Amino acid sequence: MSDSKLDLLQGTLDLMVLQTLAAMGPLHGYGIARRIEQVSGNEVLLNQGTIYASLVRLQQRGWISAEWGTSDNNRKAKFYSITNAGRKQLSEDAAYWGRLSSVMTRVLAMPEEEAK
Amino acid sequence: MMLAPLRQFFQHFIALFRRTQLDQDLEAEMASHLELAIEENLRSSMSPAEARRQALIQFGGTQQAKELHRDARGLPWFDDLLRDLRYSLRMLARDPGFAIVVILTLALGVGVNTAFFSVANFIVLRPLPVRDPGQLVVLATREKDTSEIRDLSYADFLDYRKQSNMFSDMLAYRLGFDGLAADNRADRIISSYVTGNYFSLLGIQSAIGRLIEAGEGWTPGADPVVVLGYAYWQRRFGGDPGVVGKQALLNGKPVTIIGVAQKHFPGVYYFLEMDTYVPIRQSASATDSFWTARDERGEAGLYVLARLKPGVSLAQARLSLDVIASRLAQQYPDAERGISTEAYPERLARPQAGAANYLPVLVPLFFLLASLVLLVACINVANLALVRANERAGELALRTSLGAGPVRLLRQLLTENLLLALLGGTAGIVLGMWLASTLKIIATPVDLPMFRMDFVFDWRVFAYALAITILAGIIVGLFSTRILWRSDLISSLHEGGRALSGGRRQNRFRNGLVVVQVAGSMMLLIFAGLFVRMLNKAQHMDLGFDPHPVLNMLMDVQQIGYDEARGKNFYGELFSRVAALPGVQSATYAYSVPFSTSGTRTASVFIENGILQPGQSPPAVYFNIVSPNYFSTMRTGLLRGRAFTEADNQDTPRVAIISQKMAEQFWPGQDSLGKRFRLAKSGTAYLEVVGVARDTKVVNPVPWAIPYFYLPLAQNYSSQLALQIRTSLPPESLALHVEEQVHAIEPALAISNVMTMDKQIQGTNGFFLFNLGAHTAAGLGALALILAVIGIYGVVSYTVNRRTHEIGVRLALGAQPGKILKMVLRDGMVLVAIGAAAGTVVALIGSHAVSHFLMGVSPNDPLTLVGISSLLGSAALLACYLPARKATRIDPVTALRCE
Repeated sequence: MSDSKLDLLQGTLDLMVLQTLAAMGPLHGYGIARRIEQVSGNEVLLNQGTIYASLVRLQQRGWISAEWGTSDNNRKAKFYSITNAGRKQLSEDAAYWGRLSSVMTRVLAMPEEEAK
Repeated sequence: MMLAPLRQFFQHFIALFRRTQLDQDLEAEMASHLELAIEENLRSSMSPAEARRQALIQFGGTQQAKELHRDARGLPWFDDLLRDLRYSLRMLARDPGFAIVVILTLALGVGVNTAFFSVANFIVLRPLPVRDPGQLVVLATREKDTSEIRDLSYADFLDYRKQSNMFSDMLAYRLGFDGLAADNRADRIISSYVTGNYFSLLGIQSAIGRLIEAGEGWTPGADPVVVLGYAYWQRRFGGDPGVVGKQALLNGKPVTIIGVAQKHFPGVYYFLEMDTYVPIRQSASATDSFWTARDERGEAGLYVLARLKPGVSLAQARLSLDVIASRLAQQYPDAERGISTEAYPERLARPQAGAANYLPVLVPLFFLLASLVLLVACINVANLALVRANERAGELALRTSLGAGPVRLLRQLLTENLLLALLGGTAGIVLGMWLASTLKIIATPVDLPMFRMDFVFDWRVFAYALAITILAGIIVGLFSTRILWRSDLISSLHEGGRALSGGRRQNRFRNGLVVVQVAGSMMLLIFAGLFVRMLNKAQHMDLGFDPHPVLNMLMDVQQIGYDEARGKNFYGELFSRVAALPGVQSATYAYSVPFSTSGTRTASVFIENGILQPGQSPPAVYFNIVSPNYFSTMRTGLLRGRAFTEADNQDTPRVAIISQKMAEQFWPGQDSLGKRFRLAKSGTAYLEVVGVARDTKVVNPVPWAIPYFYLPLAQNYSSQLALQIRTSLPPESLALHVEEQVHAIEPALAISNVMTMDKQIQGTNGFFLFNLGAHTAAGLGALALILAVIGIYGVVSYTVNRRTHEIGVRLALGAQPGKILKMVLRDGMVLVAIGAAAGTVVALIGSHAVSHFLMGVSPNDPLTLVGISSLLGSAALLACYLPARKATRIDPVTALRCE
């Protein structure tokens, strides 16, 4: 099963985290990881632990902020939320990804006869 | 708002120091993550154990997550650096002997270099503390095709100032030793006689009062004002602002103190700190030959400093000076033909233009010596580091096999070396400061208290020290990391690290280092030896007079305003009082004492019936003015004729005594007695030669004789006279009694240069420079010897160490210890011999190149060569012997069991 999972490209995890926080509001690390897994339909190869490197990176860039809080079922957890700078970055990155993926789609859709 | 990359770096950096806290935070977060995951798994009805297992699998490695987190938040290279540093410290602490030797060796190299640099920095690098010092050039004349540089005449200065359009302004000054009396106290001071634009050209402000202004100084005798130097104002007047407006006597004439120059401005005659500044022609009296002959274009005597216009290069300025010079040569062919006027950057013409002849040679020469020391120190350390790196080959191989990349290992080794270099460099700076302060003491001549020696460690010196420290670290690092380029690093693990020692290339390299090092030391030692021999030879030079025990002191009655009649009276009375003092064997007056810094006079000599070619200037000859018993007091023998007597006075024909050299040069092959010459083309009486005296060293202690003549004091009044007393008491104890007599007659008269002749001989114009050179060279040589011995010892003991096994086998097979000793000694001494031979050859080439500086010591002086060779040889032998003896004591059983 793991053979067919997608390896994450450099930087894509950061974007996923930003989008998740923008869509869902404040979440803890586990929540973010789970959410990404669910939305991707378990197609992403994600060691949940790697999310924390992404979180600290985003935090140092000032795109998300963090605060210790209490979860629904009364557990202590660190909650992350997206900042204004983060939203701006997200819209830039999302536009970039949109363009890149449409270009990739077109290039890969090249009919084989023409390539010869 | 902070720039984003900067902000990130800052946060990364902060993160390094909040490491523990951040780690704990992450631990807590991961724990909460796992609990949340387990809870969710439990909800999907797993068993508790299974829920935990699945949570951990989903999470991935916790350790890996932590590492990723750290890399993301921190600066990995900085983390590594800290780790490397900690590791380096641990490694050095494990082998403190190695660390200490390396640090001390580097400290010696860096210290000597830094001390030298601080001196060179003072002499040629530090700018004058004036506005835009880079624009300043010194002007001087040079006779075509000679290297003699002379100052400008007043007429030349006026012409160049008017005609050149490359300079925004041009100033001139002269120096004078004067008497300044204020508040009933007289001081002997040094003054600059300056043109009115002096301060404005330099951009100097007044501390208080006002400075000399543009219009002042051009009229002889006018502008009776004086400006004090800041340091003199502090020292003499305690910084009293009330000094402005105060009346004082400058050389006996009333002047008004109008102000004080700004702090830290010593004047522009680089090595001296000026006490006062005086308008240039204020005291231009009828007796000052420079001003009476001011229209004579050959009468050099002005130091000239000009400021280049912005954007004008030195080359352009020189071209324009050439144009003016050729114009002047047409206008005044007698005086100006064949004379060019040159512009030198101020830094290369300190304290005056003549320095431009030797500073560009001398400074690099000493730098070469200092760099040799650094190089030898580096090679030494590299050698020791190489030895150690070999010993650590096993450790490095182990780390490689555990996954450390070559880059990582290289970084580790470089960190270790840089750490050592920095420690050595820091110790070196401390040593350098000590050396510089010691050098300052050695280098401050006894006879010039206003001498300015300021070897301050400013940013240039520290930058230089840092640069050579890093350079040394890199050199050493490159040598000692060569080991990493070897492909068989891993294989050495299997062979207990010994594989690396035996390689022939490795050995050749190490032996090469020792050879180079011995060669370098040999060179330094030979130079040092030649210097010391030179000094020794100079010290034992026949001076032509007997300096021991003679007491000198200097007075100038013009400083308290005496005219000729009062002056003669004063000196006459003082003489009879002094002659009556106990312990005085004989006494004399003289205008100048040998090697004096207060000036030796020259005069143009016109021989009776002598013919000067058109355009040829009359020879300038040094002379002295003396009283009748000068020759008996100084014990200078007369070869022919007679000494002066009381009968040579104003009513009798004018006479002179000439030196042997002058007789030979002016009247070759003739009897010079009875010949006549005069000191001006016309209008003055001829002087008849009544005696020929032995040649004496009077201006500088150089091995060749110079023409010289003496005039009787009774026929040639001088307000400045040195009293020279030959005494049977210790001269120092007599000084107080003589000074008492002076002040009994004239309390306000300043007495200066109270000094024994022995001390005077060691002064600035005497053996001072030789002494300085010999001290420095000998110090460097001793240093080189120490370094060479450390180096040889290091390499030979290393070799013995590596060959323990082989020697053990030999001993086990019955080799005699004596044979082993001989073998080790021979191996070491062959290297020493090669190095010494190479060093000697290079040193000889060098010494032949500078042979005219050697004061008559042969560049292949046998005593130096033999002495130095045996010194180095015996030191090297000892350095080889110690490890060799250790080799003979190797216990074969232990050596073989070591396997």
